[in-house]
Amino acid sequence: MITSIIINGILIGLIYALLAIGLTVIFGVMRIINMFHGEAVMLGMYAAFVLFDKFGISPYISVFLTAPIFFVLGSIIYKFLIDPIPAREREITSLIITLGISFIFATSAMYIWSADYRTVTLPFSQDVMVFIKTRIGYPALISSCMSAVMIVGFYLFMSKTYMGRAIRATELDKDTASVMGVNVKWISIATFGIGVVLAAMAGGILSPIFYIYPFVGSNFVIKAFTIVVLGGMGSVTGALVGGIILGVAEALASTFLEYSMKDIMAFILFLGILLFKPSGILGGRTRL
Amino acid sequence: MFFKILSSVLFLLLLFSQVSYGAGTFKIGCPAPMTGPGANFGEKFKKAYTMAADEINAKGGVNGTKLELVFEDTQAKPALAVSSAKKLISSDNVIALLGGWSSGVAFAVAPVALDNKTPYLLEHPALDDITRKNNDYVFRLQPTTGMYSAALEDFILKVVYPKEKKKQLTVAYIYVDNAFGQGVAKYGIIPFFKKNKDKFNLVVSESYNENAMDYKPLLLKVKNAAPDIVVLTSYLTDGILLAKQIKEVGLQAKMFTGTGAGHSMQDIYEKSGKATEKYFSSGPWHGEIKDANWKKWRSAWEKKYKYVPGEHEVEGYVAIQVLAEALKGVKSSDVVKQREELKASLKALNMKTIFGTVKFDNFDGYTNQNKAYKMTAVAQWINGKLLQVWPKEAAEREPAY
Repeated sequence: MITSIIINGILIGLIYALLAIGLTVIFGVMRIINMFHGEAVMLGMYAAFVLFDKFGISPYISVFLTAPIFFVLGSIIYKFLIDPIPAREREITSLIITLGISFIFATSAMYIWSADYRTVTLPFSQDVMVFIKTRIGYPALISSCMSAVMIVGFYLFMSKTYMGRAIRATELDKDTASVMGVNVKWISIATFGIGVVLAAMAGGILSPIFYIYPFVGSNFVIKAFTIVVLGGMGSVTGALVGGIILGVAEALASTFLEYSMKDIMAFILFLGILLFKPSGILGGRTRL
Repeated sequence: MFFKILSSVLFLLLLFSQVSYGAGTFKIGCPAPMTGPGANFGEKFKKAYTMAADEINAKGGVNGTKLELVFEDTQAKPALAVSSAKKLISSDNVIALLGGWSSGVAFAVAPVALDNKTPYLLEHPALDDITRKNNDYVFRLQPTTGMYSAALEDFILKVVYPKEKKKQLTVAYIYVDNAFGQGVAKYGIIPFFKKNKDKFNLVVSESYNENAMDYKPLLLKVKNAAPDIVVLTSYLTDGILLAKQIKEVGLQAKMFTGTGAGHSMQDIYEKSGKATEKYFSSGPWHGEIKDANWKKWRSAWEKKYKYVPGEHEVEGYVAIQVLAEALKGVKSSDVVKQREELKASLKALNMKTIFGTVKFDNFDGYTNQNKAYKMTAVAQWINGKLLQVWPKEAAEREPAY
């Protein structure tokens, strides 16, 4: 049983990590606590649901098709609602503005799709494979593997491409990046867009294994924040490590203690990191 | 000067229009979750209340006075529900409060009803404690959480246990960690299995967080205990995930049963990819299904709303009928006196409805509680339909067991 629990913990941890990456990138570059994150996940889920329901497109494909739309959405939100905020007020004001935006999108979703719960039921939704005596559903396996691939892909994007390096430079020191020819304003807009895309893609990938309703976003925000703090704010690797640690710790706590201890374990980890390593597990060691 | 006079006139006109409008109807305050995770349930109750009120108003209302439903969105949050209830009572001048969907909300609203001497009729919030606080203004027409499992207990003792031919059956019980789940666990399921410990061994009994994303560690623990019977007390979203993940981890048992709530909603079957096929669900029944009035109501509901109603719909519909019947005893024009008259009228009520007989009694520590033990049934999901299978007199088909 212990092997199954650890394998399941790692698989859910990968999904946790993907949920957190969009948040950590936006925070790392712009020091913005993006409360719209959960609603971006929700919109990604609905986009996957609609494309699957109307056109039969698998969520694992549609997440790539809808990515440009979410990039534009994120960029518009940043350009017109966050960028105009004076720099000295940005941290608090942007939190309030993104919270307001999240309400608008959640309420709009309710008017468009009603409060009904939706799910994406794939043809293989009940098929299971056995790996080291562990039964793993195909949708859960594919979602976790796609999360891993996307995290690695995003890591490579951040470390190998000009755009990724420009984002990291902006994160490290805006003024120097600007002097070195980086258009900090456009990098900020693009980073917010990328953060929203990552959240929406996480939503699309989650859609076959979770349920969808207009206020589902709030389920993910606390989890994502916990991982961002665990792994280190702004760190992609940290989000990956934080996600897996949280997934496995929760699984072990709920098995050997009581299931209700699962959430307590998450908060113990959260408080422990805040007390003993406030920069996060990998926060001080790496910027990526 | 001109503007002062004009604004005073407008103010008086506005005030007069408010008073005359309020005086012309019986206002019923409905704190309900219209947004947030419980919005799905809020919509069900809104439909049920509206259908019943429209029917009553079409016949001229109660003693010539029409019913007016005033909704306030609680988002299923107790704190918000308290402020909604206060607003409904003091600002909207409602004569009574109704519903609230969840036990947590009703538990918080009940003291507000008492403080403001306003009758509060419950049709779905089930936590026993709500009607065990000597609160004379709270009335409940449906079974409590402790009564939810009455039919299930009977079914397990009379059908499941004899059929399995084992000295002792193992049972795993997992329940949502909120007021409703705790109530069903504390007053219903756990005492039943403990009382019959010669026949049943409760090998797992654990609560879980409703918003969790992954229940597999818990389900693996249950699987490891190899239970004969798995009992689940869940809302909808957690119920869907549990059903899917039970399949995924390969948990098998002779019997899976829910205790109403999420397991009695059509969505659980469809959204779980039919994973709840053959699941039982025990809770409030769907009404007096052999009664001609019930059949008439159900076909009217299907025609109006295009889906098959369950326990929530019949409870909401009957709640308005109960209030309307009790409102016949209200004669005053002052809302404070009206509330007292309504309370007295509810206490004296003995009404046959499509949900069963409604009579509010004080017994076994309960106040103004309908003895609704009989209003429970075991239903089963078969080919996408939830049909009652026990007790025999309420059965729509034989149980597939």
